[in-house]
Amino acid sequence: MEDRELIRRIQGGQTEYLNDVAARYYDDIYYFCCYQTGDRDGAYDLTQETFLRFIRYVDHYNYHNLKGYLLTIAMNVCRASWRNEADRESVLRAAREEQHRSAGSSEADNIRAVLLKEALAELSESQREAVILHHLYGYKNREIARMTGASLAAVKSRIRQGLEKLQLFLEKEDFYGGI
Amino acid sequence: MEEYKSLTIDKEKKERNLEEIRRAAAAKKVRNYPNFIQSMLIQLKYRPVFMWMLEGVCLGAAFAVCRYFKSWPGPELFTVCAIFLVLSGNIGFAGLGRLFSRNMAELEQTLYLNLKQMAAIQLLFGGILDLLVFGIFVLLLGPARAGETAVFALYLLVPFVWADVWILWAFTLLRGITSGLRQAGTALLSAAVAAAPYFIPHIYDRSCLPLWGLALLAGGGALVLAVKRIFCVIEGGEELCLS
Repeated sequence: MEDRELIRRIQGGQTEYLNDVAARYYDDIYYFCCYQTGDRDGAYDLTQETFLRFIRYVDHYNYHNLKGYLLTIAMNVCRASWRNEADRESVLRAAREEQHRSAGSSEADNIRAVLLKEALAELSESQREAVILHHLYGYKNREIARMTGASLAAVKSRIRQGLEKLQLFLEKEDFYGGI
Repeated sequence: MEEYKSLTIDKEKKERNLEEIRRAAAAKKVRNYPNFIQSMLIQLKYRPVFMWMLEGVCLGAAFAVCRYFKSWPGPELFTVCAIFLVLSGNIGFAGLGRLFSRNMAELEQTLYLNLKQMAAIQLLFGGILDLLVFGIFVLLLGPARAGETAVFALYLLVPFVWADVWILWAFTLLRGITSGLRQAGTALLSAAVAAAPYFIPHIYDRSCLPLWGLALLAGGGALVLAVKRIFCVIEGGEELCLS
């Protein structure tokens, strides 16, 4: 069933379809929260909060791009989770410690994904948002500007600067070429 | 770049999240917010029969004016038609006034109704009646004025537009006065606005047409501002509460 039809049924009172929305986009939202905050454990709570907020305000939602809307909520939820700079620093530290812990384990995680997560944690919040939305989720600059409330020029600048920093951090052109 | 999706998601944690979401979804009560078309149909459905009858009488009277006054001299005919048009405008705006009658605004807010949308719909209904009356006059009386249909339309529009500006301002200026008195006062003053050009010497001369054009432009701008103002003060509530 298409997203438009799902929303139509939900706003018509068939709230069981909210579960279909969650099942469809849970992984996307989780990955966004994970890469945005650098905290894999915390990302579960942020993902849940994203869908709970969506449920709370679904009455007012005018269907346009459901995935983009959910990512916008997730963005705001992640921003709210950075209560202050000290919080951000402690989460980044935890993300690095987690990376070191899992580096020796035989998880199915692709090492590039883990490296990317740590690399993204080095960017500023706004750069990270823009790079994730553009290169991982394929949104165009104009769409990102609308979702984040920033100007088009600011979005382009954030993506460019974010990629430059990623390249420096990863120190591998072939990895950068994969992005 | 699908590699970013290769981070493992803990199935148990995910299932716990989904369970919490399922609980919230089950508890959710969706409020139905009708869109513009649905709101319009609802307002049409619950429109008082009296309003339909009044508007029918108004249209019938417009035809009667065309029949019995068409032989009148220009300035007198223009004035009669302009007064009739603004009075029909008053009838059209009565629906808008009902939205803000005693306690209605508070009730509508409580029921999560979109007051701005409802006001826009009432303005639309009123505008349709005005357009019909205007059309009847211009089509039936305009050509008889030796090809001066556009000029005739101008002589009707200018007083009409300025009278509407007054009517919209009256919603806030005359709040607190009982409904009947307020409507009578609004109607009298707007009729006076419509009749005012008749008392200005030479105002219907050809040489004054540019003045009429300027007055129409200025009136159009004032009307747009008055409508915007109404939408802005709807949020405030107390400026429009007519109780």
